[in-house]
Amino acid sequence: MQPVIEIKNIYHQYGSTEALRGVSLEIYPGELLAIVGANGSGKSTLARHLNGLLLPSKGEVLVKKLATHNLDDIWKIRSIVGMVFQNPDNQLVATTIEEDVAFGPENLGIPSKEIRTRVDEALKWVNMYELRMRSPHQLSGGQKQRVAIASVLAMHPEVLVLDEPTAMLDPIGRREVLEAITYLNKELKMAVVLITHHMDEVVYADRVVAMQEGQIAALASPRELFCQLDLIRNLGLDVPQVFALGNSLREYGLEIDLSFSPEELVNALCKLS
Amino acid sequence: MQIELKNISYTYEGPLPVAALHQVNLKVKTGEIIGLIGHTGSGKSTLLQHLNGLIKPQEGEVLVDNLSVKKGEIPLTKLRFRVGLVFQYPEHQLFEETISKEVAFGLRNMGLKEDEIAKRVQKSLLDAGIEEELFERSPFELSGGQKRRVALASILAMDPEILVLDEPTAGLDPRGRKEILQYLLKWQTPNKGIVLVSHNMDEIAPIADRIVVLHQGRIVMDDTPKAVFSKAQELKEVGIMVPQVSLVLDALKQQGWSIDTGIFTVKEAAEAIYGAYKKLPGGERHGL
Repeated sequence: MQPVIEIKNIYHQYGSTEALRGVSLEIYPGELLAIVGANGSGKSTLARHLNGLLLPSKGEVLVKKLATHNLDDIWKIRSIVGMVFQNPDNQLVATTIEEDVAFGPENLGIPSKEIRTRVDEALKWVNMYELRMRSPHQLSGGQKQRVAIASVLAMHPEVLVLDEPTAMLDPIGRREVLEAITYLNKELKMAVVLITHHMDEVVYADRVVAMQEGQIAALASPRELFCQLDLIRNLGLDVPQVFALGNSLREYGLEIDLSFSPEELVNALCKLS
Repeated sequence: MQIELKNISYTYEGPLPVAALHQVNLKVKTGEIIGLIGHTGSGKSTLLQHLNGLIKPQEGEVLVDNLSVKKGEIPLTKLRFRVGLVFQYPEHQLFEETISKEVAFGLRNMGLKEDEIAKRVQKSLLDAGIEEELFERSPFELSGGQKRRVALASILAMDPEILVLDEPTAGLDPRGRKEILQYLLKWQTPNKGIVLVSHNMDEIAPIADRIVVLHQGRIVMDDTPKAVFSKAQELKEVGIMVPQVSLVLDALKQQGWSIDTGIFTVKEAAEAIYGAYKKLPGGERHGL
């Protein structure tokens, strides 16, 4: 399969700090890729390279063969790779939700009938259609963040990049946003790059990239990654609790399959007896 | 020190009045860690601001060591030095040119002498894990986790008796979260108290002495973590998830395992499950 995004040995320098030091990675259509790492490991810097918000000091990023450093292609690239950021309050611009979602396609010069269809569709995908006439300030954090996602979806991107989209949300808001993300990925087969500090969100990913000091320290499935306890500790990360519990029980000699869900772990334990 | 909220009700006035707290009774004492949990909009922030007089009670009384805040029996400035309040994302409030000036700011407001200020700045920053060579640097050069620890150090330098924190670990990476919690636990001694708001039950359950659950402006539970988190169904109804480890232990208990619930760390849970497993009929068969 052809990758949508190819990152080829990129470096990025902020003043005297080297935030990225030789990162290569390919992102494929339809996959859910999580990026984890301690604060300052280069996660967000990497994310901002995916649609040319930042340009590499060395190396190149290709989005469907278009190079992000080629200014002529930047708008094409940004319509392919959409981004959602951490703070929902910084991303909404209009007075009603549907106007907000229409803002992007309007700028792309799309005919108004088509915009109507896209807005309705995008709001349905994130389960915000019922509230479309509300004003953004009447929404909870999780709702705002889903509107921010819809605003990007209305531009019909092929890859959705989310930089810690749940960091400022409460548990219910987080669940709503995660449901929207997994729906887009599993049902609509959209490629998603999810940057997060919450290890329990990594569980949904096909592949996980762990960053450390501007380099990729590991690239693995969530299961493979969370089995490497020394590596996890070294990277300043954590293991989801149920998975860690399963691991400890195996160290006691209980022969159970490792799992991320409490129900599966309980079932595995009950089968033993 | 003891702060007592007695029948506190509070409404935000305006064209659409919002009732934030309703008949709240709560005692906060030095020597304990209280975990305050509740869904967004449950009234947590309003409650916190009553604890140091940032909000004056509309209805009911706030008593600090039996002195009434409403009647002015305890001056507010004094109360605010004794009860430190740390808001969400406290690093957004950093403003000084250097890290040491940042911490000194509050101390100067307390009217302390310069040599005492210098001593306290040094101690609180070192306790917070900020190295001495950083003291004269700008706080804005620090990492997110370090900035947050500087913000905390600037409150702790004032030596409050009770520390009130609104989601002190929000937005940090796992290591940063652990560092903040360890820092707070080290600070907390029998003559210090902590009120901690958190959305992360896995984090709060193992360290709290008491869990207070707020729902729609009312306290619906106030008990030990073990007692509170054993009510998974009731918690779910007020929008709160129980710690993952509790879910596993509770489910095993329901399956007939003789197992102690009310355990919140992975290590202890693994011990408990293994212990209970060995007691099961056939448990020994597997050569364990």
